[in-house]
Amino acid sequence: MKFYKDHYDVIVIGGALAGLSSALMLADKGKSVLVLERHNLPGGIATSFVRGGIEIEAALHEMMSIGEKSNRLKVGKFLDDMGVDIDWLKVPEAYHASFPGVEVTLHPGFETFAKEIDAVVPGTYDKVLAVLSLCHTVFDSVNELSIHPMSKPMMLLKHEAFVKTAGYSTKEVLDTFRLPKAALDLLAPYWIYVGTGFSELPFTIFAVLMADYIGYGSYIPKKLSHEMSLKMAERAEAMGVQIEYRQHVEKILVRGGRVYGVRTARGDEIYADYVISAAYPNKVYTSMIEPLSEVPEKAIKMVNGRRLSLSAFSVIMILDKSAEELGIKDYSIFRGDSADTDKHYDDLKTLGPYKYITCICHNLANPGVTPEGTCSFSITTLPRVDGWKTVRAEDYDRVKHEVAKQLIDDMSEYFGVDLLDHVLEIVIETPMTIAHYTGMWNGCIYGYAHTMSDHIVARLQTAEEEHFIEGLEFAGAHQISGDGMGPAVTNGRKAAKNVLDAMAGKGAAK
Amino acid sequence: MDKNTRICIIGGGPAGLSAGMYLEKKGYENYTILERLDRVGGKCWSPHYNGRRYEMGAIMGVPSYYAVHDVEEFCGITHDGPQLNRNYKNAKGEVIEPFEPKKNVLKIPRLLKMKNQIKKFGELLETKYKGYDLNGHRGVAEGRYDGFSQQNAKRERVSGVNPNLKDLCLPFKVFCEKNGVELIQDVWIGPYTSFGYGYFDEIPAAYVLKYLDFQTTMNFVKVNLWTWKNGTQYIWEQLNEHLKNPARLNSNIEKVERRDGKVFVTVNGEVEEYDKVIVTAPLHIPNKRADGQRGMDEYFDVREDEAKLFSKIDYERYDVLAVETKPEDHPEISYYVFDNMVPEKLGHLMVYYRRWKDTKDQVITTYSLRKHKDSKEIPYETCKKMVLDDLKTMHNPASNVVNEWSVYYFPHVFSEDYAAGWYDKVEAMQDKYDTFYAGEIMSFGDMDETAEYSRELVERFF
Repeated sequence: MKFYKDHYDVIVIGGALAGLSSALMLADKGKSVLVLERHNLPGGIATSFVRGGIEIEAALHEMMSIGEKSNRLKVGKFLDDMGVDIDWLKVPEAYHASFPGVEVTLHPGFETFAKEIDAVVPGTYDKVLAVLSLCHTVFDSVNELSIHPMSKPMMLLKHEAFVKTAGYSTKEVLDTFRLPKAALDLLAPYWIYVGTGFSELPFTIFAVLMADYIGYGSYIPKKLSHEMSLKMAERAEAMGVQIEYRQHVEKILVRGGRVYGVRTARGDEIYADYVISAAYPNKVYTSMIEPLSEVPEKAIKMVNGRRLSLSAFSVIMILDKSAEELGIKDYSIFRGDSADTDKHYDDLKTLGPYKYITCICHNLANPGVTPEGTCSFSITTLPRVDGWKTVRAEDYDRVKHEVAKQLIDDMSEYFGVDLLDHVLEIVIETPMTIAHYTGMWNGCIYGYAHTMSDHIVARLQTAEEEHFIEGLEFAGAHQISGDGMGPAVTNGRKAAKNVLDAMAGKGAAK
Repeated sequence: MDKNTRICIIGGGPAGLSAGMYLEKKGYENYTILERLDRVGGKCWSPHYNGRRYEMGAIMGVPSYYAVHDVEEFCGITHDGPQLNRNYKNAKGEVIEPFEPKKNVLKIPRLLKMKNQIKKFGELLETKYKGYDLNGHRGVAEGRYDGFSQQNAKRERVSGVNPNLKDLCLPFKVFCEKNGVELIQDVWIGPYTSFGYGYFDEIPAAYVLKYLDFQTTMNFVKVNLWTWKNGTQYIWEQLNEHLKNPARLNSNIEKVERRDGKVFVTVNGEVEEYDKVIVTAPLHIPNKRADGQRGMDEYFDVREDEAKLFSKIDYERYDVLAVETKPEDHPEISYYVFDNMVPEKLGHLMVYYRRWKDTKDQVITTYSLRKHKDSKEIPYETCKKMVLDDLKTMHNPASNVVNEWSVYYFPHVFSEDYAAGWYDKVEAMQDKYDTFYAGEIMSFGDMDETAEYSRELVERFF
């Protein structure tokens, strides 16, 4: 019996959330799909690991676009529709914001959220609610337009708020509300989840982020992010998808401008009409396409023209006391020496010290996640890959120690407890760790930076022009919906949709 | 035994002098201690330098040194020396803090694992290896224990069967790996290899654990250590003064003959007659592995079974230098160099000791090993040069060497002979030729273990 079939409709490179979403959607439409994953487990960074008998979340802070069971948002609904049955837990709060002079925990729901800000900065209720309403209008438009593209005049007619704000940065739009700085600060924390300072971040992105998270709250899988990976893989296999682990795709085979298969490190040549790549376009166009002469110059220009966004640096600890005993009260804490997102974004170019960090105490949303009397606590900063690329091998351990120590010390000071006195297990992830384990380009988990010059709206419009090679689609943080585990699912679906459209004889990937 | 038994004790070190003390306490006053050198103390050697004494041999004790404590009480002295303290350097001479997680968070996982393994090891020693820490090695190779156990002031005779004790014949490294506690070696190595007791891949676990039993190691970890202002030699000088029959110094023993139920000892040309002899001097009979050390067979009428067993004894080659430094080069504290405690760094400086906190006008002593089971022995002069070069690397160069000592150190047998019952065979020979064997080889090469062995020897046979 042969290991591979003679031919597949689609080969998916990478068995993480994006690739598995593509596979599920294609299998659902009866296509023959092969997923090739280089690791021995599915999920990429949607994974966990075991230390001292405790399973520890590797990456997920919170999932957006899930929604309650009775009112699922797009990601939650897709997974339900595909029969991927995840045990979702709702995260109780939106976040705890910790800036000099301000300590406040805010909860999801527009009105609740606005009320809680008003309690800190009186007289801002109406304006904050207005900001959130605008965000929601834009969010609805984006969701509709991503499914039903339309002409610009029609857009202006039906999606006025979206069109009017699309050309402006988050800072420019928020400034029009004339909110006191203290209230604006409390709207800032989630910026790190999209990874661009407000002067450069398109308002559209901010709007989607806030509407989704604040409007509908966030969720986590009870059995950690790996629950998603495993259940999606299981479901895909049940639907006939062939998934092969430890198969590293080295080459994407192209002839006459059209994809016809892949070759793995083991030397297998496998043929398909379509290839969906979770590997970055940067990697695909510079080393994977065979022959490289098939790569048009425009493709190289496109990847060179985009700025890689953020990676992650996390200190993940199991502590020997409960969250309560340590004085940890919130699932999610965003802490900064200011709420100046532009300044923090600049800091992320460096190797620290990092003055904007985000912490998760998993037990506060998932009580049984560690044994009684212990808790799981992670501290994360999201440095830009350009800074970390400069770390030399001989300096790596020192830099890793210094950054980890700074993050631990900062949070120890915050809680008034030396966290290092309570460590049962500790794991430190750097951009290099991520690059090493997932093969992700430079460890960049955020894809390309959202900027006013590389705007999501522009990307939507040029998406068709970016099909440089027929039959080749991309799925991952480097695609339209951007970074995060929720968007990964959406990106995967979009790639699958493009393939299905092409198969049906329409759209770009002919 | 008749209280008037004439007993000759060969050697005026801790083993010989304490044998005298315990005999005397038990009412045997007809004993003679013969010491070859012009001083007592053996490997407790504390020469003078500018009005104070420094250590060329043993430096410290721990609160579980019960036999030494007996000696202190007997003489009315106490451990009144300077507080010990140390830091750590790497092979490049940089100060490091290997056990301080906050100095390098990347080391935390290993340190945590080590901590868990130490806990586990403590439990294993109490249960699986019950009886492991008794003085001497009787029965270990057969899975038995028999001897005195001491916790605080309580000392009691215990004996029993524990087949797990056979594991103690294994080299310590293998023993740790077998028990899934390989990281505890990071802690045990400090007071072991750098103190000249060899490498964990060659030394049976029994030696390591009889000296560094759990309690003793924890005392080292907490720097809960004893020193003596006038040096460790002072303990034995004091004991010697308090004995009814102090050691006869400069006694060169030319011959020991055992015949007709008597022991004839030729000392400085004169033949003396005894009923029994206790040998605390080296039992060693030269073989290829320890050339140069005076063999027992050079002055003893060694019997066939003695020759067969004692030729199995191996020694470490442990070198000590006492050096002066310029004031600006003087170390601020003692330093351990863990990087140099591996066989690959044989001959290098493993630890150097600064004794007094209050002055730079003192000598620094350095310690190095130059012999390992699977390595070529490094010549003395080569090793000395390596150590002096290492001091430069450590930023504490020596300006002058004031004293040096190349010691035949820590007699022991290797795993194969240990497992083949070497100790039980020697123990079965006790008194066979009116001769008792004591000293370092019979227990372990530190002053307390040897003194303790002498105590038990007296209790068992006199």
